[in-house]
Amino acid sequence: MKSWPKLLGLALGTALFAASFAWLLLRHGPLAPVGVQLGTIVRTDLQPSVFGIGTVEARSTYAVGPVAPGRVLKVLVDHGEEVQAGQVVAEMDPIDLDRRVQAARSASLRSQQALKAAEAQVVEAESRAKLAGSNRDRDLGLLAQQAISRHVLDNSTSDAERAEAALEVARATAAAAQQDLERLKAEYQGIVSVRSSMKLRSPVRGIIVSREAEPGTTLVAGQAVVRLINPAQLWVRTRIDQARAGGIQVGQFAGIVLRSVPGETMPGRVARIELQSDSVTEERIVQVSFDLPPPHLALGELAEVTILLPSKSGVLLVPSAAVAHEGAEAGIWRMVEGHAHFLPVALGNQDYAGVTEVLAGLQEGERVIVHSSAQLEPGARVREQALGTR
Amino acid sequence: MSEPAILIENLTKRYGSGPTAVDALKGVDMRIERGEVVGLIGPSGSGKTTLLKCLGAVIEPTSGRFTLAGEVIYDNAWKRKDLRALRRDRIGFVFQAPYLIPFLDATDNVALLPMLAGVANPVARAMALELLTALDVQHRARARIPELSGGEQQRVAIARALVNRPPIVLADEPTAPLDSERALSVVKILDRLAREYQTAIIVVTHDEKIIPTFKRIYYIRDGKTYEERGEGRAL
Amino acid sequence: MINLARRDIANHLGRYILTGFGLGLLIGVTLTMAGVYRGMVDDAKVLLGAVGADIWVVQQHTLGPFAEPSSLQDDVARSLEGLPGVARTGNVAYLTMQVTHAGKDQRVMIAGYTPGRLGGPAFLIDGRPISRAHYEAVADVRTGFEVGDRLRLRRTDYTVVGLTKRMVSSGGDPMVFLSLKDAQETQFRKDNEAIINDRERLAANPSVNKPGQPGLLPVVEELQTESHRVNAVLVRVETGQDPRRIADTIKRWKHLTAYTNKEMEDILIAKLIATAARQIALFLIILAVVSAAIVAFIIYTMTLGKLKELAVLKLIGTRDRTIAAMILQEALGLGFIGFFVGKFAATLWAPVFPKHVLLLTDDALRAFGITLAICALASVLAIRAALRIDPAEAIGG
Repeated sequence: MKSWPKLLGLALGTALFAASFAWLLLRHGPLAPVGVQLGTIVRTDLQPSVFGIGTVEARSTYAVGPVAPGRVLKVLVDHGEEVQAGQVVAEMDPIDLDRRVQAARSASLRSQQALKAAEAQVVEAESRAKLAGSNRDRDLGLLAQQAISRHVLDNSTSDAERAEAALEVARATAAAAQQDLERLKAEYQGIVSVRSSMKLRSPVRGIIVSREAEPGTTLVAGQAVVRLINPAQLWVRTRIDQARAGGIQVGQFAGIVLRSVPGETMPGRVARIELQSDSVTEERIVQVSFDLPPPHLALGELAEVTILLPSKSGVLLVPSAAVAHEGAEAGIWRMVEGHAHFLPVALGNQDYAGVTEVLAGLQEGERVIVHSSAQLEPGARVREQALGTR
Repeated sequence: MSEPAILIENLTKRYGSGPTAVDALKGVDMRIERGEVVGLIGPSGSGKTTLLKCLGAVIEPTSGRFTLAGEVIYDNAWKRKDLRALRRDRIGFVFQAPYLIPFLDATDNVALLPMLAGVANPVARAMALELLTALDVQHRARARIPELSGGEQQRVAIARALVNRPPIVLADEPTAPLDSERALSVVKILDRLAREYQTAIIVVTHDEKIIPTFKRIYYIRDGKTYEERGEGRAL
Repeated sequence: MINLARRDIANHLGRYILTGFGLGLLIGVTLTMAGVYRGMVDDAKVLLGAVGADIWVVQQHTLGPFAEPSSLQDDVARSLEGLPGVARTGNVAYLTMQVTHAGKDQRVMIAGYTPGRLGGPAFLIDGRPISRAHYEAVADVRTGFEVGDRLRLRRTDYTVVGLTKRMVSSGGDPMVFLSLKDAQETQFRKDNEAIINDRERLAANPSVNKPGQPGLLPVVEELQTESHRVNAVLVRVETGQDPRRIADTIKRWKHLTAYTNKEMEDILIAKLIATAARQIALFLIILAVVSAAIVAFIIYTMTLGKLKELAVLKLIGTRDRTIAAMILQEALGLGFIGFFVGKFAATLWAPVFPKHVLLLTDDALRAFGITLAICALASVLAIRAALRIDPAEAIGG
């Protein structure tokens, strides 16, 4: 009788131990059902988007350099300076060009003098011819009056013809001098323009983005002294996974997030989809232009680009975490009376928000297993419970 | 008079063999009737304990004859195979220290014997309770052994010895730890029970207080017993 | 007949239970050690199971991405996809890195996979899978990251978008999943100083930086920094196809090494964790032997404490069988209490371990059987001692 409380205590203790043991096994032990979190299939409007990484680039870059090999004499602008169209940005060393200009000029002046002399000879020959002609005409009249002999007339006629011929010669000489002058003038102008090409000028209004040669550097033809871009024409050269690039079209709206300004999305637009895609990385190149010039200029900066595709209305969506594969089939897991069942489902694209389009196989409002605390097997016991760490 | 409870004829016990052999018992003769309480006294080394062990069937004598309530137990060899059952059913033991089983209560300590013999638990407990009542400790029937006083423990031990109604009870210094009043009361109880249950009780003792109470005494010395008349003082 | 063992136990229940409890803790340690071993083996297999590939294609004559370095061109996957019987493929890159979370460095295994193809985490406990081609990560919950946290690798910040559970490398390091391109970049991209140094070295090399060929240098630079290599290509075969046969085809015609999932498992277990596992297995055996010895001592001492009572029991005619049964029952009872306390303790403390401790039901059942067998065996010693007691000892002295 006095052992009653002890017996009771023993029974209670044993029961308590058995209960907590069972609880522990069922909760944490191998017998515990797999904890799952369920989600619901919803029908909603979907705003699909495509995400890519790109670098900020100028639409066109102008490399200013000499047309002929040469040595840089002066560089007049520096990195970041704004230049106007036609502004001299650098000069090449002319070396002997100035002297060649001088020579050409002298030659052309000399030929001008020669032309003048030839023209004076023409005038002289003209007056001679004119005099000889009038002598012949007078002798012709005098012969008609029989005032002079035929012999006199013959002489004056011969004189006139000779004078005419001399005039022709003088004229031809003058024309040749004229030609010569023009050639030398052209030569002179040519050498002058070569000389002026030693001054390198900006083709457009823009900003110097790099100064690649310093005075004294010898460059080959085509190598740049400075590069400049038009800051109003920047775009992001974006690489997009080929699998997702299907719906992209020129003019679509895009959000650009620069690496340096992670919190801010700048508006942009698809400006060009390049025809050639990268077969190694399986990516397409899409150029996305800024609607407004970015607040600061940093070419080559990484940018995250999200291109908005046309929205779809009334799409069935399943959380992407619910999508699973059994063998080669894609589908979802469902909880049926405490057990997991795999259901093959036709699925569309995944959206960045973590939802996947359901094409067929599920109805709106159906519940599917989204998260699970272990890998699911067909027929595994499951229990709905809060997972995660929060 | 009917057959004696115990009849021992020329019982010897030799320990060892060859030149080092020791003869502990050199021809013991005893005859005790049912209902009789006899004393067995003798100095240390006299063969007292050896005799008790032979009577208790825990060691084998070397020769002689041992008849228990008409049944020849030993005649130069054990006549029974199962000495355990013999001890359980035919011999009661009371020890100097009670040697009760501490994890059993008083009733079960007593009831254990009939239970071991195959008696159903309720019957065995009823038998035990009867004995405990006879020994006037029925009020402690469900008490655990350590909760009992020395005298109570000894009574329970006596009850255990008697529960299977053995023809003899061997009591080894049953009064040693007790004061004289209690010792005398134990002997009184033994005397009463011996008559009541028609059992022969052999009390091995040194106790001067109780020796005078025996009517008959076996004195043992050098492996031989000598029968003497006791004072048989009234209790 | 009353049950002597029960009475004996009830008589000193507290001591008995405490002894069982102590024994239980010892059994708990043994069970945990078995769990550590199982966890180790399971760690090696969990990635394979989660990834769900039927065939692992790796560099020729290598033991795959975990046991040996392996490097493949990532367009291998395309040629494998064309093989008959191949259902899905996936490029994967694995690398071990340190990541810092909340000021603490920890080793993680980065796994790069192409979202939507093979190689990704099999299930999530929070968040969503990687959906962008860059800068998103799915981390194992053991890394301590939560959905929305930022994770920095090399010079790139990643957003944790999902959490997995039990996703560890064969070495037990938690995993972080990235998109393949990010992982490749992380794997092969050098730090900035190294890139600049390399550029200068290249620019100083006259054969690369010829004065007359200004375009050559940047091309060489890009070639040096870009990488399209992966560590393995995963293949899942069509239902009903024999992975062994397809793996053989790949080996024979593609000049690559291909392992079936089973072979990969063997590589991981046999080559990677064999020594560690043997170490633990040996320790487990010693622990089991020590436990058995302790059980035997406990029961033996328990019996020796009862010698006098046993002698009396024998004297009054208790059969050997009854006494043996009593000792055996007490021993089995200890084993019973010990096992359940041990199982309880092991289950309770297993999740606290830094590495996975896997307590299998089969192991527990086996341990239960072994515990009872050991207890029974241990009681033999005590029973022998009890049976040797001379009932004559109860008489006299």
